[in-house]
Amino acid sequence: MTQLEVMPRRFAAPAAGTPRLEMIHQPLYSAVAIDNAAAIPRSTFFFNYAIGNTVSGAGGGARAATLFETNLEVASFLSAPKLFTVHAVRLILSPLNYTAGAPATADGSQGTADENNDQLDDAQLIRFSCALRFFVGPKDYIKAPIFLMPENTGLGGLGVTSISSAADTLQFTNNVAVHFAGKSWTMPTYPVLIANQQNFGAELVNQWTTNPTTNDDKLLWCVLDGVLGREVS
Amino acid sequence: MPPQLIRRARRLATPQELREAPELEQIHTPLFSAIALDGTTIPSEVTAFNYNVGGTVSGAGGGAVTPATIFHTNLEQGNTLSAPKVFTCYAVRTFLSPLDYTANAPTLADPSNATARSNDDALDDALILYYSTVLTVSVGPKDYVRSPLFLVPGNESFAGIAHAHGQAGAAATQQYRLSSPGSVGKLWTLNTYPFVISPQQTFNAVLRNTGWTTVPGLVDDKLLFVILDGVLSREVL
Repeated sequence: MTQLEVMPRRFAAPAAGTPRLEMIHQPLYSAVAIDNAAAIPRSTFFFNYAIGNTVSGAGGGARAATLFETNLEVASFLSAPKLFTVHAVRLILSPLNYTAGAPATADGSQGTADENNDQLDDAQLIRFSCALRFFVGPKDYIKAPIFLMPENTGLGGLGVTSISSAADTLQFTNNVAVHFAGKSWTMPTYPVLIANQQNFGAELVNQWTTNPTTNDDKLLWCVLDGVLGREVS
Repeated sequence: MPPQLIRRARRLATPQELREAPELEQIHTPLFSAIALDGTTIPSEVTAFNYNVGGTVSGAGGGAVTPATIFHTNLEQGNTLSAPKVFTCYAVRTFLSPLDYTANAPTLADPSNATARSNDDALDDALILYYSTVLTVSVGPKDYVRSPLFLVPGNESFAGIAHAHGQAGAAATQQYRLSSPGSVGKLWTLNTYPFVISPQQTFNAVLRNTGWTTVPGLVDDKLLFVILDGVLSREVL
C-alpha cells in the first residue's frame, strides 16, 4: 500500500485486512453515441454502462459495448478492492461516422461535386456547445465546457493538394483529420480519488434554446487519465 | 487555511484567522465566465464573472438571452466566492468560440459549402476582437491583468491535417471555405506570484474597446470566455 499512501492527497489509512494492490497506469474511459437524427440531448451520461451493455446515447454506435467503447467492468463504480486516482480528464471525439454501427470516414475524399466538411463541422458544434459535469459520489469535481478538456491526440502530418487543369466538376475534394489540442485539464497536485464501490460518472450537458444537430453519428469519449490500483491476485 | 495556500498566497491571513479557518479541500479547476458579444459594434465595456449559473450571461449577444448554464460559468455567486472558498490563480486565458450563438442556438459561423460568396466570419471576428480590445482582471481594488487581449491567449484550437481541392470549371456552389481559429501563444502565467481570491472578496474581468475613432464590430454573436486557471479550496463538509 505504500504507493497508495503517498500518491493521492485524499486517502484514508488502509484498514486492517485491506488486500495488497498493484498499481498500473491506465485510463478509465467511456463513450457516448451522438445521433445525427436529432438534436444533441440535454443530458447524456458517460460511465453508466459496462462492457456488454448498450453504449449510452442514441447514435449508430449505440451497440453492445466492447473494449473500444469502455473498459469498465461494472457500470458507475469500481468493484472492490480497486481504486483509481484521476490525474487528468480529456474528451476525445472520433473523426469517423458511426451510422448503422459501421465506422466510415465522415467525408468522401473525392468525386463529390458539392460536399460539406462534416468532420470539422461536427467537431465544432460538439466542442463549443457541450459542457461536462464529472462527479464522484455526491461531489462535482468538474463543471465546465468541454473545449477546456482538449483531447491532445489525433492524426498529424501533412496534407497535399493538386488541381487538374482539365474541367471536371467532380474533381472536388476537401478532407480533414482534426483533433482539439490545447492546455490539458490536469490535476497534478490534488488528484481525485475514486474509492472502490464509490459511485462516479460524467454527464454531457447541452442546454440551449435550440440544441445543435450533428451531420453524422459520432462517438465521444470521456477519458480519465490516472493510476488504477487493482487486486494482485 | 492549508499550508500550500499559506506558502503561495501573497496576502496572508492573520494567525488567528488561520487557526479558526475551516478545513478545506483543494481541487484543480478553473473559474471561468463567458461574455456574450453582439454581432454589432463591440461595447465600450462589458464585465465577466458578474453572474452565476441561472443568471443572465453578461453582454448583449444572442448567448445572453437565457439563464447561464455550466457552459457559461461555474460561479455560484456573481463577483465573489462564497465563504469559506479560496481561489489561487496561476494563469489567465481567454477563448473566443468560433460558433455563432445568435438566438441562443449554437451554429457554425460559416457554412462549409454551397455558399456562393461569403466572408470567413469566424476568422474575421477573432481578428477584430483580439486586436482591438483590452482586458483587465481585478480582485478587490487591484488589477492583476491590464493588457491587450492578444497577450492573453487561450491556447486551445483544432490541429491535424487539412487539404482542399477545387476545380476551375466548378459550379458556384462548390466554393469551400472554413476555419476554426484559436488564439495561441505564451500563456499569461503567474506561477511564482499567484494572486488569491479570498472568500467574499469581489473580483471580475472587464473587456473594453479603447475608444477607437470608429469602433469595430463583429459579424456574428459570439461567446468570449475569460478563464482563471488555478486551485479552488472549498469546504469539505
